[in-house]
Amino acid sequence: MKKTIFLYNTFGAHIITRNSMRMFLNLLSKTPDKEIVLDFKNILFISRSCADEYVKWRINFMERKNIQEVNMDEKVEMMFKLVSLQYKKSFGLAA
Amino acid sequence: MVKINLPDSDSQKKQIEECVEIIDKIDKEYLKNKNVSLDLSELKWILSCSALLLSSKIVELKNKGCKISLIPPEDISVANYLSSLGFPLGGGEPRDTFMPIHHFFRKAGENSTKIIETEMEGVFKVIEKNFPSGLITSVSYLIAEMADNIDQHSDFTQGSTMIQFYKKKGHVDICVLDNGITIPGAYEKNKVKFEDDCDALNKAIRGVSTREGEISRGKGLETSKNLVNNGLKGNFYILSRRCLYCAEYDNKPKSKLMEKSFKGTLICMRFKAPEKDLNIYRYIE
Repeated sequence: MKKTIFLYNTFGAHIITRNSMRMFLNLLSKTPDKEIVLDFKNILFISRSCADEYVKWRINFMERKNIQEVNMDEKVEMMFKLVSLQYKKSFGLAA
Repeated sequence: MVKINLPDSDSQKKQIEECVEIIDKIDKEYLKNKNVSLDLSELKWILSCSALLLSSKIVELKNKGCKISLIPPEDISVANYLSSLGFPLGGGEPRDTFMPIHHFFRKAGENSTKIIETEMEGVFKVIEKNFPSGLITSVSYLIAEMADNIDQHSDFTQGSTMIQFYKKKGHVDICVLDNGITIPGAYEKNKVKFEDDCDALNKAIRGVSTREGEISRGKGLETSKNLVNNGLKGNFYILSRRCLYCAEYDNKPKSKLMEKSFKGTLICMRFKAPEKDLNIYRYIE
């Protein structure tokens, strides 16, 4: 069964500091669910640092968990694309 | 009595340099007398970055129990401007496109993330509600990067912010200040070698992270400077310990090793509001 997490409930509309994202991802890593839906509804902004932290985590966890991101605002999606591109350039990783 | 006179100029660089001298005098007077008198009566011009620096010092001393007396500027326009910024103690309510000087505090050992997140949530609300749409993405990006730097590296006990969009002039001032370990201090703490404080700031701007081996980190200052200089065609300044780094639009960045040391890090930016929503992503790659 898929577990859906509404990011707005944890962060509010803005995901700003790397530490807050790290704390969230630590909890997410510990959940036994293998299928996770991260719902970005009402998230208006994510900082580059947080997107970086998330992409790094996703690379490490992609084989252990099936993660799906939904309802991403265009600007939030752009930030993820930018960071993923940086990872691809630096490490050749598929983020 | 410390006389506060600043260069009658729009040069943030000149005003910051003078403020460092004044702050040193204030510290000396405090050590000598435990009380401080500040004379602003002849002040003819003050920029928001200077107001933030002085306000932060006044609040810091006040919290130490120092009694501070202030002679206000005789020039009414200067007095009114300072008042609109929330000078001397900060804490005014945000209004329209004006986020007055605001100080926030952290006890030693207390987790900084929650404090910063709460502060920034307030800032973001004002930006999204009142700023022109063409500014929101850029200003949000810059604020978030500065906030995260403070949270990650500074070990601050006092932080200060001030954001203004001047509708008539069409420009934006953003100033963020903390009294933490400074950029050179963060490198020292993490055993990253540098020649002097300006070398440390230049390294920070080039994206040399304090976290060795993490290539994806340390990009906050570098990308912010690029966005301000190249995307928004504005000026970007960092004052940290003994270095003042200036990256002005259309000029080669310069850094100056100051005689006096500043206990903290100030980052300030000034740029014209873009006419339409700027695609910031090409400047922060």
